[in-house]
Amino acid sequence: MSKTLLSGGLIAGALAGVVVALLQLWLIQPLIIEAERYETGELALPLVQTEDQPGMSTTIQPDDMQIEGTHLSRAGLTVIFLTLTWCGFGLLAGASMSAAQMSTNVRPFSAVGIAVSGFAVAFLAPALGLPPELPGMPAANLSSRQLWWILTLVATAAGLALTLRFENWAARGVALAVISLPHVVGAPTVPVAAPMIPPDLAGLYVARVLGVNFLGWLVLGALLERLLAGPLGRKLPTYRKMLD
Amino acid sequence: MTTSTLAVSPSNASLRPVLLSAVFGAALLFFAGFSQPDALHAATHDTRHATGFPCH
Repeated sequence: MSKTLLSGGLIAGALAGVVVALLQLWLIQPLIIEAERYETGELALPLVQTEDQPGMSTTIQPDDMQIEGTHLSRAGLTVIFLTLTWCGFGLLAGASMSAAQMSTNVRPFSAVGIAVSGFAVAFLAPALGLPPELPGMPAANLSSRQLWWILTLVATAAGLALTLRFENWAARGVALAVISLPHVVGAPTVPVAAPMIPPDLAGLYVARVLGVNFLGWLVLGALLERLLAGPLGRKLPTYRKMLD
Repeated sequence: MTTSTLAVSPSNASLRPVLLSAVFGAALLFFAGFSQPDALHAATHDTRHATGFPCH
């Protein structure tokens, strides 16, 4: 059981991480590099041009989007750390599945159920207040954003756990309140400022990050269902006996 | 001579791998997504941007 949970979470997370890393290099990395050219002043929007930094074309040229050879080590580090990040998601999702199975008479896990829950908790809920940001986008203090991000993840996970554990309307009401709380309080924000990077680049980036992460969770959900739901399901009678 | 057995309650025995998995997973996420040292930030920069973690 211990081996299954740890190795299952790690293997599922690592494979999902590699898929996400490949999609990241293809779809997201070029946009980050493009944004950095605006961040460093190499390119500038006509709106914010200054005397010593004349405005340049805001159109993304295909050539600009190629990852250069010098970016190879950068890409390698991203593959490594994305894999580690998704191993973390895999282990946490596996632990959550196991905890849910131990404490509730939860239905057998479906790949899509795991994927949607994980995506909602680890991406969508925090992104409602703090959407994915490109380099050069104005943002509030980093520590306060990180704190709000983590608290939102915890609140959403707690709300979801409540609805699974207690299947009644009172619990669902409390769950809704818990999930809404960070959004009612509000994420740390900064006053609206003139954009440094093209809004269409930012829009494309947010859509791609959202899509890539959802695909990542679909892969992770399918792998976790395959690797863990079986062993956890077989353990269910023991857990029920233990609780009775 | 008595054989000593390690008394582990069933619930502890079952909870341990769950907790271990959760702690290990959270540590990996914190390391890759949230820790602040400059060198680590540079190495994990694109990962954070690709995962929607706060960066910069």
